[in-house]
Amino acid sequence: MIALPHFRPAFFGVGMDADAAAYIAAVKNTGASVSKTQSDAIVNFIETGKFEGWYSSLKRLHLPIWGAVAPNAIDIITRSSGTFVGNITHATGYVQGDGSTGYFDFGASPSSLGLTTSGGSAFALINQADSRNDGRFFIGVQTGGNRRLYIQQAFSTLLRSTIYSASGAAINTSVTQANGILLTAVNSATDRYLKKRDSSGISTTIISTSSTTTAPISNVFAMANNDALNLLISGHTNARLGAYGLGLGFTLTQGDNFTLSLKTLWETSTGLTLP
Amino acid sequence: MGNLYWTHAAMTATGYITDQATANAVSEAVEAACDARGVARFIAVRGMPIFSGPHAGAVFIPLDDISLDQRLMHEKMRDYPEFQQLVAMLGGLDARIDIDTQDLIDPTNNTEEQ
Repeated sequence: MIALPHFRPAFFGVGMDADAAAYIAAVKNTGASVSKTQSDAIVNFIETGKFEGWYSSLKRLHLPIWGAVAPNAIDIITRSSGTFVGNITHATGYVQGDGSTGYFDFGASPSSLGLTTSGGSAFALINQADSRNDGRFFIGVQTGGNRRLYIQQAFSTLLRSTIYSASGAAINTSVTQANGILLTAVNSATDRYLKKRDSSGISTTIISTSSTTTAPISNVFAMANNDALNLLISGHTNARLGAYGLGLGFTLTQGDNFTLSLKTLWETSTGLTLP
Repeated sequence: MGNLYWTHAAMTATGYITDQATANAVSEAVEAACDARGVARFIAVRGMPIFSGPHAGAVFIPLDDISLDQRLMHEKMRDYPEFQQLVAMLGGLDARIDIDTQDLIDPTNNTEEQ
């Protein structure tokens, strides 16, 4: 009897996760270089998310760490591209608007991505907060009927988020520094939260709301607020952003796990440390 | 110690003063350049209304030196022939001005603090 060798799964074509492979290929196709460390980090992030159950909630995830416009515009989840507008620095590890003209248009609205009253989220990784204290948006959209979705640096020591109605569901969190990974999400039919993960750990602010306002129907922007209600783009930030995106709802545990994995992905891929 | 990095941001933005028709033409040219190369429209030029100041009523197209030095794909923005044509259409790099960023904010609809 011939003993069969113990093949590794890759020998049977079960190698790199298909979603990870497709994203890495899309980035490389723009001319960007993806190191093995970065490739491994992307694979680990996606496989962890699928194992822990939060990956399927993600609808858009941009990782603008590549130092060039085209790869920074690619969404990890769908491999579609958003659009950069205005004056923006594309550095290694983050993008930074000029605080008055630069922003990123996701090319999709929360509603079109399937976010609903019972399930929705937005997030951003802030490597360096805005230098001002007058209300700047890391991610935001506002449409008629008081439909809003945003994460805002309201003041240097106050973060604010809303899903989907500011008047009925604004979440305010006092902080010492407005940087880290910020995740706001629908937790249950009545609970919404804002999580902040930084070098010191993670904190969560939960509110209860009876608001039944539905998801906005205009494109979401990062680095500014798409105030489609007033035909304005406002609140441009000069913060440094290393990731941003949208998803369906996350449980509290999923929120903890997702933000931890995103921190690992960004730090491993950039060599930088989340403040 | 934690808030020492709070400094006041730059109060001006660099770019072109133009009209809506020209801004639309530039925008369409950038889209056409992306389409012709078979790539996604990952960058766009969108004119911004100027609400106040000496250029009130005109349209602002932001284009600073930092942006010109960003790599789009393989090359910097300033090295693409399409951008050189657009810059020429707008009067050349020396035609840019620094505008007070307050002039770009609609004084009647400030939603920055909600």
